[in-house]
Amino acid sequence: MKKMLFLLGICSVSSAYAQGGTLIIRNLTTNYDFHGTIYANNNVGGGCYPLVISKNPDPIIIPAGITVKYENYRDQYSFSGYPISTWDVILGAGYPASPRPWNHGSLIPGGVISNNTRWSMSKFQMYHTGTSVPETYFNGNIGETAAPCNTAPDVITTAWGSAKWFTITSGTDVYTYLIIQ
Amino acid sequence: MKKISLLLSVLAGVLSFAQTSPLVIKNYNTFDAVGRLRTGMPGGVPGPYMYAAPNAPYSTYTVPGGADTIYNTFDTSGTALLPITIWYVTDPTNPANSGTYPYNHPFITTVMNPSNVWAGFHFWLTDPSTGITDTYQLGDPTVYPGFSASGAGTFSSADWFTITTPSGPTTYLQIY
Repeated sequence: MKKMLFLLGICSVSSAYAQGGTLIIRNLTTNYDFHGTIYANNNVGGGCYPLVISKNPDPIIIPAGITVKYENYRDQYSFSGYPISTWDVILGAGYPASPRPWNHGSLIPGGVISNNTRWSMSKFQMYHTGTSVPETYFNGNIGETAAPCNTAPDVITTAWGSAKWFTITSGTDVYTYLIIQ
Repeated sequence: MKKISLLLSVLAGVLSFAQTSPLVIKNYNTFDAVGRLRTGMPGGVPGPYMYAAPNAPYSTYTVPGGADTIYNTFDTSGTALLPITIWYVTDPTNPANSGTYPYNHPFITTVMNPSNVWAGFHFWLTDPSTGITDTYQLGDPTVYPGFSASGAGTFSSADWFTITTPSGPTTYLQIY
């Protein structure tokens, strides 16, 4: 019994991953700004929680032609150039959303929430660059289709542009891309 | 959204029958978390429950500042980094069972392991320089209604939650 538990302990460590790695959002359009929200959650073992959602700014705005990298919940604040200062954290079904600053103890890289969540989805709306005028039909929910807790598609195609969500694995590092063009 | 809620209710059903999944405690704060660690019956059904005895050298069960520990099952709790060598059992449905048991007693293995889950931790942290105390009753409200899942005090905050992984659920108590 003890051996079994030990084995399970090892398995749970080896199956833990560091937040699905970096999220890279590339807005390759020349005339549209990205206005969106990003989501990360647990997508293994049948559990969809914890769920972490960008809260402030709402929305995140990434201008035309800009690429932004979100390494993890904390370090993105100093290094992304388009910092998220507050995340909403939902720890389980029936838990309220708990707004937490980027440097909150629960969001550190290597912590339980970071190790058990990965980037899963974005809700976005494209705006005419530098304006508050949306391109009405260039929007959507896009995400990781292999993730069981996400129901959004990984491709969105419109007459004004398209978006694609995918991951690239290099060794143990996972890079999640959201490309808009 | 409907699919997600369905999935979650199925998940909740599974979780409520998952007994003695590991409890991981991590105190990121610099001050000691002192209090009463409790188990209970899933769903708050009447039955036995128990409290952890003080871990040496403390006179009350204590998770020192910066410490972490994992309890895989109740009957292995005495071998953890912060050992629980004794359990205080109360059994309202069968008072003859109430009493003090060593962690590896057959009663813990045969009765408490299969019936109980981790319920929560009623604890406090005190900043000795100011005398200010943050008090929490963290845990699973479906097991004991006095518990809540998250809390924040003047100089600390804390979470109680369960994460499901391919190897099963693990419950976390984190103090920041």
